[in-house]
Amino acid sequence: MADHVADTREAPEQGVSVAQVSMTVNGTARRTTVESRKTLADTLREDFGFTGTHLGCEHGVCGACTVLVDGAAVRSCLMFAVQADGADVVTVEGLTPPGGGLSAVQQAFREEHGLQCGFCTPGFVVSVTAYLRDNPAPSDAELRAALSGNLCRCTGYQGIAAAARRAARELAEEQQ
Amino acid sequence: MSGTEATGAASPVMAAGRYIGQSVRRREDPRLLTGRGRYVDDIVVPGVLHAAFVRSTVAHGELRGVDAEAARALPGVVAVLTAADLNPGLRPTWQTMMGPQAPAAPFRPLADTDVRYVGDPIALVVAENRYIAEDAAELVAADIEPLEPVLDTGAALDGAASLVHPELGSNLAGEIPAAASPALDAAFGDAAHVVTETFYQHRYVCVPMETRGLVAQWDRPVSSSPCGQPRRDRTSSARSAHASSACPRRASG
Repeated sequence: MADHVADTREAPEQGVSVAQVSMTVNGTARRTTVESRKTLADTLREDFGFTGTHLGCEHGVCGACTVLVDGAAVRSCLMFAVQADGADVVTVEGLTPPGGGLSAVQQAFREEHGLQCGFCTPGFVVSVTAYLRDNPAPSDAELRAALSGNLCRCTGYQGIAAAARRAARELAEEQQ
Repeated sequence: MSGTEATGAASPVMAAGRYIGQSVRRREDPRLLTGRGRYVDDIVVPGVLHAAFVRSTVAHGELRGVDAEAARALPGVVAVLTAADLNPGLRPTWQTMMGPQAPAAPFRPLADTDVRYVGDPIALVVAENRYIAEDAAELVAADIEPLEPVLDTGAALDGAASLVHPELGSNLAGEIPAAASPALDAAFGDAAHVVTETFYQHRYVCVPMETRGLVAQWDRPVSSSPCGQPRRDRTSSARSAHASSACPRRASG
């Protein structure tokens, strides 16, 4: 449920602009017709059923809605679905290994108790996955800076930082 | 996957041996880590309506009027409720931890003639989807004349401050007296030095990542909220339920 402050802006245009969008989501081609103003996050959740992508602040601060668009970690609440037309989108549901189970990052979050209520967790998992792909051997300061784009209200971040460190370590061992 | 799994029935003695003193893996983590959790906004109810609130932008002000006509005229809007529509049918569900003598704050689901804090709800918009509800909320015009707010607990009691709740006649919400202790009094009386200091405590407000939300269905015993207090939700919903006649269609969402 959204909260709004009172103001007196002009009425929006009566004509609603709609568009057909196509994208690959977690490896499967998807197509839907959406209002041009519909966010990628709402489209992933409502049109495609990937409710693992969560909306906390809806203005780009909390990072819970982070998904991969053509490999880049982006806030899906700040992007319209029409902007993702033709893109390859990966949500937290798409990060698990083909045979099931947990990815190295997901497993590290479990081992280090990097989650409590789990609401922010998909955003952290996607962000850490993208960051470690691009920066496989980060310093602790770099890792903490990379995590600073996501907010959590339960854990106090220590478990999350430990999970990111463990994931970096284990991914490095996998490479060897 | 190795490690301790919290599965199966165990006697308390066995449980202590299995869980205490070691890190225990949580059974819910795999679904939460793979996007298969279920939160309030993940619940799909066919035909659900969505609510958006119009709220005060000032900490204290006179609410001279609310013009909701443009919002009501927007296609897809089911209802725009103001205090006149909603307040008369509701019964208060106010809880205090200050004891039975504490005055109850006046119960106002929606602001009536004044607003008393930033975010004080002024109007409730119900629409076919949340985009339309938010559009309509932006079309509600609240005529607010800002007044001097009370920003400090000390200043609130100095007599010059305006009253937050005029109905109470005072800004004193409650008092918790310290228990009488002659021994403590004697200790202070005999002390070589007595230091007096005033301590301020920050205002603590829970701001979970999953924002407040509620899914409710009028004709089914199903209501979902993230607050983890189902019985309180049930009580407050039951006390509020008959007010939903103010809404021309079934309220759910």
